[in-house]
Amino acid sequence: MKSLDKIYKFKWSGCTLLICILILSLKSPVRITQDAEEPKYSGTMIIQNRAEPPHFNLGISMAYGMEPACNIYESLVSWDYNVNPHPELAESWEISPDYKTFTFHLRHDITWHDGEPFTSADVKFTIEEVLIPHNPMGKLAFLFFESIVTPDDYTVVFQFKMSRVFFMVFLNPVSAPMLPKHLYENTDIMKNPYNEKPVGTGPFRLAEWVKGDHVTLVRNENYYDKRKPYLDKLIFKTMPKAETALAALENKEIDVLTAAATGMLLHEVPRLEAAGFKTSWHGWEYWKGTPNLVFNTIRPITGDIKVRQSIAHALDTEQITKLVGQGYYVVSRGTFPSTMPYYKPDVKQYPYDPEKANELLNEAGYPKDSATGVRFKLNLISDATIPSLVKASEIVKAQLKEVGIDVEMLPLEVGTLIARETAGNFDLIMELGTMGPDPSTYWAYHYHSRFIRVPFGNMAFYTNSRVDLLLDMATVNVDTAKLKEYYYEIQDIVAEELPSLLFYETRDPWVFSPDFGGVIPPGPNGGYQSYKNAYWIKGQEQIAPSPVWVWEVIVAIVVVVAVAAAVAVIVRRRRTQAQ
Amino acid sequence: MSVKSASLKSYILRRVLQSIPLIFAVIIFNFIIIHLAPSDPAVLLAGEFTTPEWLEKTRNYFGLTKPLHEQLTIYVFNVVRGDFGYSFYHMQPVMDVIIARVPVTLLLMVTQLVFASIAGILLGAISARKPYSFTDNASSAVALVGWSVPSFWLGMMFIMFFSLQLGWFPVQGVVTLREELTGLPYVLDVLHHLTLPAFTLSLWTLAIVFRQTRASVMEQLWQDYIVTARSKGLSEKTIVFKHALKNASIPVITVVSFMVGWMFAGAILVETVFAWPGLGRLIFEAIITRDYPLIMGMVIIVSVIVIIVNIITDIIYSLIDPRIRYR
Repeated sequence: MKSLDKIYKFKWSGCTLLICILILSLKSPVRITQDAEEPKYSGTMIIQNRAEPPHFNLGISMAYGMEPACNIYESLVSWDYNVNPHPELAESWEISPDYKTFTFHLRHDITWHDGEPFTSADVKFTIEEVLIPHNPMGKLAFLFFESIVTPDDYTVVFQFKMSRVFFMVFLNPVSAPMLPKHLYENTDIMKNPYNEKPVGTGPFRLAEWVKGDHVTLVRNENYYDKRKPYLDKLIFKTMPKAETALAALENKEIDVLTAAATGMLLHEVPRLEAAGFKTSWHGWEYWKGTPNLVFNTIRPITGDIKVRQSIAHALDTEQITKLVGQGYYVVSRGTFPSTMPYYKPDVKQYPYDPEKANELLNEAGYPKDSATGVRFKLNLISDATIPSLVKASEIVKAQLKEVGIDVEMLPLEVGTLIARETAGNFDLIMELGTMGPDPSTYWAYHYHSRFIRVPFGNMAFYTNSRVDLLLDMATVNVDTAKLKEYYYEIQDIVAEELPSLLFYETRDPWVFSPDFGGVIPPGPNGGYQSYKNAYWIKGQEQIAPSPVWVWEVIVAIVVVVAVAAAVAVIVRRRRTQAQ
Repeated sequence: MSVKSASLKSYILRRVLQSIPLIFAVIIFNFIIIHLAPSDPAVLLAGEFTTPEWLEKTRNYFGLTKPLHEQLTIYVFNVVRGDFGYSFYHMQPVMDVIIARVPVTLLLMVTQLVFASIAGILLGAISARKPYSFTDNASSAVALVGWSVPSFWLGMMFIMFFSLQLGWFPVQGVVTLREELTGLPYVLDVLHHLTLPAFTLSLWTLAIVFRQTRASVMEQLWQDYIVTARSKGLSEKTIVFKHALKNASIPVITVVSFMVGWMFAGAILVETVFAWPGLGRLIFEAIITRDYPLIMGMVIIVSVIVIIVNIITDIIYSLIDPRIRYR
């Protein structure tokens, strides 16, 4: 009898417990769906960061690893993959016909993460006191800057001395993040403590920074766009080694592998796609990489235009592109990236023709040595940390050997590379050739004589007074027909004189977990924009939850009743037995 | 106070006083070496697009336009006052940057050193007891691999096999980022992440300790007192581990103390492979960015550590061998 009682008690207790579990499982007011097309809320996304951020103040640094800060700070506009601006901190803007006056109307509902309102005073302070004096690109981005006027708290007027047709493209988080005036005014901007504990207007705010390891950002609950961000948390894991990042992605320890890593592991992309990972081929529309061979035009041999043109004929750019790009890169047919404004596709070409190369070298007065077959020796320096450039250098060396040019490859660490480049201590450089969407700035940086001896600038020591004049005229002109005329002529001259030879245009993909969707990478400049439009597909539809306390009370009542009923039954049985 | 302890104290005091000019000599030497390297911090801070005006302004801000001897003098006087300067790259006090990375570095270094020392000594003693046996040959093979195979390659192989194939260990990092663990689960998670990088880093140390122990113990086993011990009927285990190993330990301790300084060099690659946020990776990044104050701060730290370890080693000598006295 006693054993039967025990079984009975157990069954009652078990039923009570089962009922409680069922009720608790129904407690959640949120439905979970598997539909990957609609953005979902919640979730944590872990993103590979190629370098440790030195701090979070984008206004004073453009170092690698600053991507987390692009989720904390915002600029006046954001950009889509077609490099079109969209309202961000500014809800609208007007540009004067002469491109000298830019008027922005700020949103009225934006606050900093500490609750203070964002106003035009912050914009004025950021531009005048931070970006222009302290940002490495400040003087380039705000070229011809005259003044900034703030007629009211939500209107900002930029005034330039000369026309700036492409000024808007600099309004992105990297070159123009907005900083809080109330936290930076009258301080040493470089050493302000808020460089490490940033206060921005962005969709995420800093939660944790474990130096050297990771940065954790959490949703900004007071973000002006109440629908965003979708994710609860972003974690940027510092992983400088691409192979480790790849292994971590496959082991599900991270969710997003950036182009900085995949660019070194292009051969892995098909395998990752076959394994179900998603790929995105965006993120290169703003800054385009066009690896190219730069000639030192002030040295006797490489300063000879016939030598440069002969080298161009001796190099099979199709083969170089195919071998380095694994089928993903596009051969460059021009002197500038094809995605840039005013790109001219039909400039002078140098088809692969070793016979023509030999002919030009003979004409230039460099016959082959009868014993060695070598005409002359050149050194070729490149960044040793970029494997694709080293690989391209190896192919160049092999192909130039066929026409009697002996190339000594010198992969160097970046500090030494820059020192030799600015000193002119090289014959050839294989460099990445990054260009942005403003020809007046980026093209000038590579070919205007005023950027000679500026790091990564006019590395070829190229001097052409006509090109300088055309670049200067194009910088301040607003007539699109004239701009096209100037930029087309520049490209024709550069194609003829060949201070550098472009090989291909890079297209390194972003690879990420199939559990995520939305805009990844976040913008046309890769990770240098916020992830507010990315989401976890296993997240939740945002339904207004019923008040939590209602469910807590219901559950509590049910549990109490069930326990009371079980106790009553047990007590009654004991009385029955005693009788 | 015994005569021995008094002489040991005065010896330690003398060594500490002698190390001060040594540290300053290290500072001066490294200061010169660093500034001989091409390029300058302003250029590396600028990134790809900047202007000559910004470069000049930055050089002035960091005092890089001053003559070299003036920069050195300022730096030395600041160090004496306990000011190790501001990191050019991180824009934070140098010591703050370094101290943030010390805990994970100590965790990795101490773990691998303890494991390598214990395993190396044990295997060395066992191998010396039975040379050319299976145990000896297997241990020698492991030592050969640990000595000759690059640690970064080994690390990648361990990741591929133990992490990706078997799924036994995580690929990288110190903790599991998706979970917010505390208490014992957090400790276990850290140990789980520590296993592969510590093991990878320890193999080189283990190889050296093993070889030194084996050779030293074998040498001891030929001594007369060992013959006496055997004739007394002591077990081979007691002879090796209680008598021979103790007398063979002096050169082994010397080798282990040398490893402390070399660990930082080996750690650079392992920390990069396993994304371990330690001082090894920090000093590598500092060199790449020509972060002079941070490089100098790291040099001072490592120098002090090496000096302290050497002093401790000398103390251990006198504890192990009562014949050793310091004057």
